[in-house]
Amino acid sequence: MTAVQVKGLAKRFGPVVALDDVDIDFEPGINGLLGPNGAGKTTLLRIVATAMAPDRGRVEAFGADVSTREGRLAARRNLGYLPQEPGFHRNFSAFDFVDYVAILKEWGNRKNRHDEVRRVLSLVGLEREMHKRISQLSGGMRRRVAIAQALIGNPQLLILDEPTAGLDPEQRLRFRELLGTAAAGSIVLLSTHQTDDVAALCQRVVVLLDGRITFSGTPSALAELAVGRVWTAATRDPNADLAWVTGEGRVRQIGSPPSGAELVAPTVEDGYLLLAGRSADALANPAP
Amino acid sequence: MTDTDWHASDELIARFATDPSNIDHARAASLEAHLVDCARCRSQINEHVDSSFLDDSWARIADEIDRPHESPIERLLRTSGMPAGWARLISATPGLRGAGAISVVAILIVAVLSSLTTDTAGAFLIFAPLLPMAAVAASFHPTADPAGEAGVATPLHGWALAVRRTLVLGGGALVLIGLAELAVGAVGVPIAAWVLPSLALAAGALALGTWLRIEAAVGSLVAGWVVLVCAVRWLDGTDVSFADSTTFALGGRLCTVAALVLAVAVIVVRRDRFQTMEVFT
Repeated sequence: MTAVQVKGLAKRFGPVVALDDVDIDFEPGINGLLGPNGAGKTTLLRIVATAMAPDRGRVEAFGADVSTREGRLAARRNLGYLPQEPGFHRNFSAFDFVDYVAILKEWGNRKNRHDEVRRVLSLVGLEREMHKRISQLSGGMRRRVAIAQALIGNPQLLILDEPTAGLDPEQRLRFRELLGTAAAGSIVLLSTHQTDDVAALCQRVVVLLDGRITFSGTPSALAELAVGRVWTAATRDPNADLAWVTGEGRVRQIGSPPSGAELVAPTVEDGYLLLAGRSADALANPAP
Repeated sequence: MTDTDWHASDELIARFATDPSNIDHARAASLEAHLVDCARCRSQINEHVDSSFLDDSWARIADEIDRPHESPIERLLRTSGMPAGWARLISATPGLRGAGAISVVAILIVAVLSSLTTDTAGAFLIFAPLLPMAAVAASFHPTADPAGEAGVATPLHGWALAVRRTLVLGGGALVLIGLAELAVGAVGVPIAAWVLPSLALAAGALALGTWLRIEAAVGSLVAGWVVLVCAVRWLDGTDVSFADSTTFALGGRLCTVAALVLAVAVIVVRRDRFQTMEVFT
């Protein structure tokens, strides 16, 4: 049985189409969602997390339809959710906040709950700061508090909306390590703008553009889309779709290379930029 | 700290570790002082100590230290029989403080209005029913839940929590209105004349809030209520006081009960809306 199935999902906000007939299945492993701002990533994650209802379509988690009361409850008992903008009661300490969410997650026994709160706060490296008020914590620490609450109870479905936003490079590395161990056997849906996070962490990457899924496959398959389409040169080629100056002073370019171009091995970012660029072209020059 | 030449016997250490009351006070005190200086005897005593007892003791201490501070409202709810978890979920909402602030301001408004008019009961009857609605609305504002959006995707979020918060906040507001009634000297107004509109408006705000933002729902109802009361009084004739107008008489009360039933029915039918973050936002 497929662990999470999304069928014909559609959502509009007034005239804006956030999701347009999205069909996708998620299996255990780390699934990365890539897409520009407004592509529909957060809306998709909110609907799968049962925080938002779709206009059309359905989500099945572990065999249950989450639009029903029973299915939603079953899904919520098996999921951890990190929203893009987690709200905090600033007078809470980190411990109070995670403890509060643990109560919402039906951890009734106080001792077991407190043990679990200490465990997840230790996982994110906040043992020493757990009794500090959230208002006294840095942005990166607050992000880690929010990640900790999502890890309560080792959920089978872990939904993380831009978990590495605001984390410094060392914390991002630690997060990758944490996710690799804490999420073993779980389905992880991870939205990010960091293509290197996707390359390092994800078994599968899904690219959302304008509310539609335009790619689903392994990170290396996404990178392969750009094979023969990435080259470097001393100057910018006017025919390149995208070009930027690298740290070495060379211009890295994506598009149709001129003959004799110095082709380079593409990265996940190149594949993604190629896809996103095509989508932008399609918007700017719609087919007649 | 250095080892000394003298060391306690294994038998003495065992008795000291398992039950110090078996040793006379002088020897126990002497051994205790010796242990501070003697690493060898300290290591011996470890062999006789039940480590699970120490672990449990430490866990209990850590649990007490980590235990979140209990607010007076949380303590009140818990001692009145509410399970500790629910008491925390309800009392932790910042909306509770917002509701308290609204209540105090509303009482002051009623007091000021009462001083400006000879129709004290009328001023009370117009404004008092708005108080529970404002308190309930404060608890349902999108910023009211301390866990924010993360709390939405949890098993206890939704209908059950919404009903409990409403009862606590609405009930608290009704108590404050009762105190306000005493404060402004409007005693003599039938309880049903203000309790029924209070309940109907609070339920109406929740019912409308399943379609509109909570601010819009409350604003519409405040305007609607004031217009209704003034219009009915105008139809009754200006020689009739607000307290004696049809709105607060038997006919008005029956209409209010009908509105209350309708609002509750809407809430029950649309209760699934409370399960997501979209309600009231």
